Amino acid sequence: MLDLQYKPVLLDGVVDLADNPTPDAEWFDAYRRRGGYRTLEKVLHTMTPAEVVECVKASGLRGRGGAGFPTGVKWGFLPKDSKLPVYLVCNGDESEPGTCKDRPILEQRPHLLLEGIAISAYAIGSHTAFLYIRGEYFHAIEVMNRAIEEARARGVLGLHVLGTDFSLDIVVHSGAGAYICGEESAMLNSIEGRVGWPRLRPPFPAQKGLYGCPTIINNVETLAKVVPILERGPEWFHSLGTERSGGFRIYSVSGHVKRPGNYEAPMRITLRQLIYDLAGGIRDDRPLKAVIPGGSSVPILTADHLDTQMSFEGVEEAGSLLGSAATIVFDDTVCMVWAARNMAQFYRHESCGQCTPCRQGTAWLYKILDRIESGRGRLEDLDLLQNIPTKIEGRCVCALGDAACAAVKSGLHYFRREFEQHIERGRCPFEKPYTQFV
Amino acid sequence: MTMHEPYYLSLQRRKWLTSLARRYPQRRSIALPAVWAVQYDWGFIPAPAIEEIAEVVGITPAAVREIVTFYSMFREAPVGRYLIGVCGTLSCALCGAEGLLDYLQEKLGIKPGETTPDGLFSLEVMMCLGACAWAPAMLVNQRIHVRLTRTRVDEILAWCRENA
Repeated sequence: MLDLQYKPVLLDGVVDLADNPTPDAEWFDAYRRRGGYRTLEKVLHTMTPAEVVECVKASGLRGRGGAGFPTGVKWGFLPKDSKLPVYLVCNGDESEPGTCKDRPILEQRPHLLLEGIAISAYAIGSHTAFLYIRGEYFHAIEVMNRAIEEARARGVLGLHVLGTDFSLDIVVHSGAGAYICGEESAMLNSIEGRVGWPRLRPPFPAQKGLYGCPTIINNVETLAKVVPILERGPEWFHSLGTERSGGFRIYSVSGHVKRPGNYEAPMRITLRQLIYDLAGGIRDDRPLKAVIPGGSSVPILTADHLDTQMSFEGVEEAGSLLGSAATIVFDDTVCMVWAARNMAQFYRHESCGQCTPCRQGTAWLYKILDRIESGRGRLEDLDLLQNIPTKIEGRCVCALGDAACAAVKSGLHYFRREFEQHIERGRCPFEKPYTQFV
Repeated sequence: MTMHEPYYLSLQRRKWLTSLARRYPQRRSIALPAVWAVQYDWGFIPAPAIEEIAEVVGITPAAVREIVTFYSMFREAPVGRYLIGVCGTLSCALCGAEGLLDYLQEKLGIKPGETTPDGLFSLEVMMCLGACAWAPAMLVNQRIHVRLTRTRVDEILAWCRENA
């Protein structure tokens, strides 16, 4: 059982967009006064880049964007003998439905992120880092640009970082409304000034990435965590979580809970603790019907999975994926066909159009789900819904198509009866809306 | 070939883009910033601006057109003074986004994709805005508004009218 007395490290109590116990943390002086950039100073003066990589490896930190790849191991993939420059790209495209954890870091803890980027860039030998922020995050872009200017004026970024030989420029690159640009290779194309089409791999970005040079792409939360890891040591971080899921993470809890928000918790927390202890339980104390544990791209779970540990391995064991750790909660009033249609609509809109199976398949999934939800479904449609994913999965350049199938497949698996009822009755059996707009 | 005089991209914008280009290893990386610059100044990307952007960035007009049409925030036609983008994705949809959209349609008398006759408001349904835990949410031009209610929407619309 997890001790819920855990004190948040990254967000120190920023659960709501409106709370911010340390509003001045977005300014350089206040950040510095609280010990900010001391870890960077320590790293630059006392550690070699290889030691930083080892430290991050030992911490068990895994990527917080969705795939969960071990960060230190990823850094280790860079070629050792390359004459080409190395680029670091920080992924702040945060567009996975349900996910809103990077927003408070970008908007309220910009210098923490810059410090994390700087330490990581030093570790991998990069002198130019790009921070890609989705176009809709206007405020985050403004805050980060201002923070970079401040840090540069104070000698924390630029030619001689904190008086050392290490130099670093960080460039904010704004997206313009494309979910696919959160996919790492599409993001590289977007930074290069092209449309955001994912690239075929191999070659992997660590070998041949941005401008054809070795490139490391890490999520905002991942890079922000490098700071406390280097400050307090890898053992401290690792011991918070489990053997295979080191440390803590920010869970965005949304949907039908009493206190939705961003909850930072050790990765030993269970789904039940997250929903009932931290997020206050289901609204009006209704029964829980379903949960999506890692953003809309992962399979749905049900109330039977409440004792799932919210670690990578725990959620996998339950038959889903931890993804971006965005937990979307449904109470018993929600129609699963309606929910699947909403997600299908999203993926249809966001499919980049490069690969036929995804472009066509996501459109078909939406069309069929829309037909069932609006009472025009046929029983054969259920076979079609089961068949279409087999024509998409594993047949495209990136995983967007696979992601689009997750909700449909798991929805049919757990709630097939609901789909059938829609078809038999020729209408949706649920009452709408699920939440009155008052 | 005649070079375009600064028109859609002002001299000041061009200077800024040139200094930005120095921070990227390749000049074509300023393609998105250049399109953004035109949209900030003009509210949309007028068709004749494409060639000027292409020239400044150093890519073909087709490549610029590709970017303008690929990224959904770039607009090829003007919108109202305030563009209201209602988040329609799952977390918001669970928490009343459909009602929010209905309410806005009723208050403004327009459907998504339309602009009010006075040119003040345009309405759009957007994909996930990353405000999932504070649903329902909408973007008004550059600003995100969260945990919306009828009263809050009334206040926001009134503020927009006063400050137009």
